[in-house]
Amino acid sequence: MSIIFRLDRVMADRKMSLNELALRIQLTNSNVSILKTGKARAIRISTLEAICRELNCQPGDLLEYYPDEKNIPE
Amino acid sequence: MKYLGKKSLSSFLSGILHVSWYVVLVLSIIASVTGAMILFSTPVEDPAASGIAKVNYYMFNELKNDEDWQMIKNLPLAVRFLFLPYFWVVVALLLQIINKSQCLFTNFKNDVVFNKSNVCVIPKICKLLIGFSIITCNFSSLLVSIILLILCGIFKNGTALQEEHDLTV
Repeated sequence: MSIIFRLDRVMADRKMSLNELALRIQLTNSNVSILKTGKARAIRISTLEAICRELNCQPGDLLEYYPDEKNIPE
Repeated sequence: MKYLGKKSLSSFLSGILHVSWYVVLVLSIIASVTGAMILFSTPVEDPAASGIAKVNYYMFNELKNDEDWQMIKNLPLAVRFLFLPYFWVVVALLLQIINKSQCLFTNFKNDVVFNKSNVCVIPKICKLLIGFSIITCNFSSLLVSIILLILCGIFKNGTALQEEHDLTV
């Protein structure tokens, strides 16, 4: 996938553990782990909003776009 | 009526199939032994015979007036030899169908519905059922199995949606 979720990096910057974040945004540890490892297929706006609020960051800090070679227009 | 989960139709069917697998196995062993005795042994005419010969005597006495039996008896030995492998193939297919169906209903009992293992098991059941229907010349079950095979596609899509839902955080 060309969109990479940088939750692990932002969490490390804020020195916040997975358990703590899960507790604050009221998600299960397994769901936060899915986000952290990049296995998630989709993310709800409400979840993104909660993460941004707790980690004090912008959605752009969490998401990065790397264009695939196929996606580059000729 | 509850269809999925514990104390539901699925759990009832799972239990029934579990028992019926053993019942079919035992009955088929008995039937193949009896069938072999009928097909390949010669009638015993002595009513005072003992042991297997006595069983043989009563069996042939019962079958004496049966038209189908007379027809089978007149078949050449080579053709009669084909009856047993045919029977074993039918039984093997039936046991496989029961076994796979039991796996499926056990999953349903455990509330595992839209799952990759179910997506694999249902087409296998359908294919076995198609084979079984063709061998036994049962066209109504052939039709049912073909419809079930088409429904597998819907089940596959349902599993993809479930996976999508599970990975949406």
